[in-house]
Amino acid sequence: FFSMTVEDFFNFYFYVGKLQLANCSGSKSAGDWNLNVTPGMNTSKVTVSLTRNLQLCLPNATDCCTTSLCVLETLQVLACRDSVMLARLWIQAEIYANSSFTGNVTENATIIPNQVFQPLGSCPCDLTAEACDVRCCCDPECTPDLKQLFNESCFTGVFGGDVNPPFDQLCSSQSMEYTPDWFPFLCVQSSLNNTPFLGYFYHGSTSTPRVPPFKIPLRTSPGRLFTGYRQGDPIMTEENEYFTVPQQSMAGQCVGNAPVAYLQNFDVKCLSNLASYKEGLPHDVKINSGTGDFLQQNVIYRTVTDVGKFITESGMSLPFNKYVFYLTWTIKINDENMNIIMCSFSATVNIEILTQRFTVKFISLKNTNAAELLGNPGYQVGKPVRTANMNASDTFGSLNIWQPAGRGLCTSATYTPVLFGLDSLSGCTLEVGINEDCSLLRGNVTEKLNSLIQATHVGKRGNSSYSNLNDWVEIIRLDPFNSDTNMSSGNLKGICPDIPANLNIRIIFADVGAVQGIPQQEILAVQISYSTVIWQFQCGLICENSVSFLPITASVQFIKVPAQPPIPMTRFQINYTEFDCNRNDVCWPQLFYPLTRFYTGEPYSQCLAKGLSLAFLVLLAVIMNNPWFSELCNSSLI
Amino acid sequence: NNSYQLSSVPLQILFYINGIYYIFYFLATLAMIVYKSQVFSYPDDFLAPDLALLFIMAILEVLQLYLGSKGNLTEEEAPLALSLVITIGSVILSVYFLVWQTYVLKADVIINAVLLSTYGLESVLKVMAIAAFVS
Repeated sequence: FFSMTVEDFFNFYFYVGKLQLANCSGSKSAGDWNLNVTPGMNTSKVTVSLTRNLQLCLPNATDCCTTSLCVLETLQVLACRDSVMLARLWIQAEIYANSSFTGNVTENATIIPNQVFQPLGSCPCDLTAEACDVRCCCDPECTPDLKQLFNESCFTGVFGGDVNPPFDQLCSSQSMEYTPDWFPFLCVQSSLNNTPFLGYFYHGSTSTPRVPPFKIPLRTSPGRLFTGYRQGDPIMTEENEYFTVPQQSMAGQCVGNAPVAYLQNFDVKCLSNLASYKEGLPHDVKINSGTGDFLQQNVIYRTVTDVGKFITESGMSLPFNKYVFYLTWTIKINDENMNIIMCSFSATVNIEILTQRFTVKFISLKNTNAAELLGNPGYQVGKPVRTANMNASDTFGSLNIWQPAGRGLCTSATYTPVLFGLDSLSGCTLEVGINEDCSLLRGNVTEKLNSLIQATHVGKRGNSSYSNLNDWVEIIRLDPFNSDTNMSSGNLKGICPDIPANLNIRIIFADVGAVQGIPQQEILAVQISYSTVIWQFQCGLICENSVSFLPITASVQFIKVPAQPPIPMTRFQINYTEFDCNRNDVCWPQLFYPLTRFYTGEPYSQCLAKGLSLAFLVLLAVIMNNPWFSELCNSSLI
Repeated sequence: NNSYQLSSVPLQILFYINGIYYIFYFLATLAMIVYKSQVFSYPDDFLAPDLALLFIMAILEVLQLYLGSKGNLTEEEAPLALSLVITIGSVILSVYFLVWQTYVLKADVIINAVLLSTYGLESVLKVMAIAAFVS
């Protein structure tokens, strides 16, 4: 029986069998079903029950089920109040007879068809035993009534049991729209029961899996003797292991065991828990200096007195009584010593999150300015462009672009040097009032952009020295078009044309040779130009804003030119593959057309027929010209 | 003049026609096998038996025609009988190409049917000729 509870007092009516919508005029029992309503406090319990006997029929019994599925009916229960229907419940009842089997058990095993003719079994979609698989039209357990339900959407193809569908070239297939002219003679007459693929899958051959040759070569520690470090080589320790310092991985998080590359500086901040804080490097690590000896660590402890600089009050993500502080240590590897500088301090604050900052810097002792060492004389991608200012007294120049930070206002913007090989675009926003004078604005913008360029010359190579003028190229400046004349729209407030708000730095470089196999790049020319915009004061609905923003940008573009054009190759040297019929003059595969299929100008069947008949004629001619053949003819025809 | 000449003229004519027809049959079947191998997909080891049987059939045919013609013209029953036996082999092969081949095209059916009828007629005439020579 079924039961459900409803909230209010209703009358319940009951319909059996009809699928159309009924109204509130039925009865409490219909067919084999009864409806009982037991009212309760707030709810009524409605019970629908079957009154039939569901035993499977024994030979002499009556009032029993003849088949194992005894009841398949659809019921409707209506909740009505005052002849107005308020709710309807559909019940689809499918009840199986109680089958306690008392007869004989037959020993018929399931007949497995001959695998040669039915490699997937007679009905591959018959997956459940003794039940009808939906959408499987070849399932023998499906009764015709059930099959009618899903008749339109049977599985097609091999899975639905059609292991041998008729193909288009059969003479008996009528369904092709386009039959070629020769179709009556060259259609396949052999029946589908006897295709060459019978038993094809039955034998089944096994193939041993070939171990794929993909092996990521694990970079193990080299056992060879060291001849020195080149740029990018990992620094090795005395035990021939990598010298590791926690660094930031490409995914963003800090990895503890990242090797340090020679001449590659970095500066990372890693967050960690105080519980898992380690003091950094183990104290007995010695690194291989590349010339045979090993460098001892020189640990310098500095005590920080002004703790407040290192404790930062946390931002909005942490509660206020937790602090974040820095513990910094810097490794300076110069040519002779490895200095590790560690800072420590004691604090009585509640420390939860530790930010450790790891900095590795390579310093050459020979250059007292502690300028960065460059491994190759040419420029390396990522290194700052060397600049010089010949007009200044100390000849140091700088070429910078803006460093994005904070709100992006130009008044608080900082600079970052232009790095070789990295095209960049950065900018800041300038606040402009509505009453700004246009020429003043132009001057302001130009001055701000010019503050980025504090150089007159750019070094050709990474090791350009200040004493040699040939090592430097002059920056070509295309100054903005300074129009001092009265502009016709200069009297309009809030709009200024021709503001040189975009600075374009174009650096042209080229490959000029190689050192130890590594191509060296040199800067050939630098050009600085300005692009103008029209600035307009941005108003809201009414112009109540006092300032509007003008974005000014600086972009750096690196353009590679060939230092010399490549020597044009002679046709002898141009060595396209022999089978490239598009580019070669001589195309052997197309010449031997019927034997190879590269030519597509003529239908293959025609060419084959012509070729075969030609071969036949040639053969005939050869045979007939043979005197042996004429003798044979004469002797056999007499 | 039948008393002096026991050789069967129809048989000889039939040998002649059979020879020419067989050349056409051989080339046509070869071309069709080549066509089938390009258009349909043959499982791996079905093409070789078809071609081998075709060439064996060609050899048998040459032998049969030669022996039969010689036997008929020299009025000896031994080569003619041998030719009859070889004809049976040819018939079997022709039935193979008609029914048991990997892919049977309608053109295959036609030319094999013609060949089989030729063989049938030939066999009848050979038996009659042997009977004539023996007696």
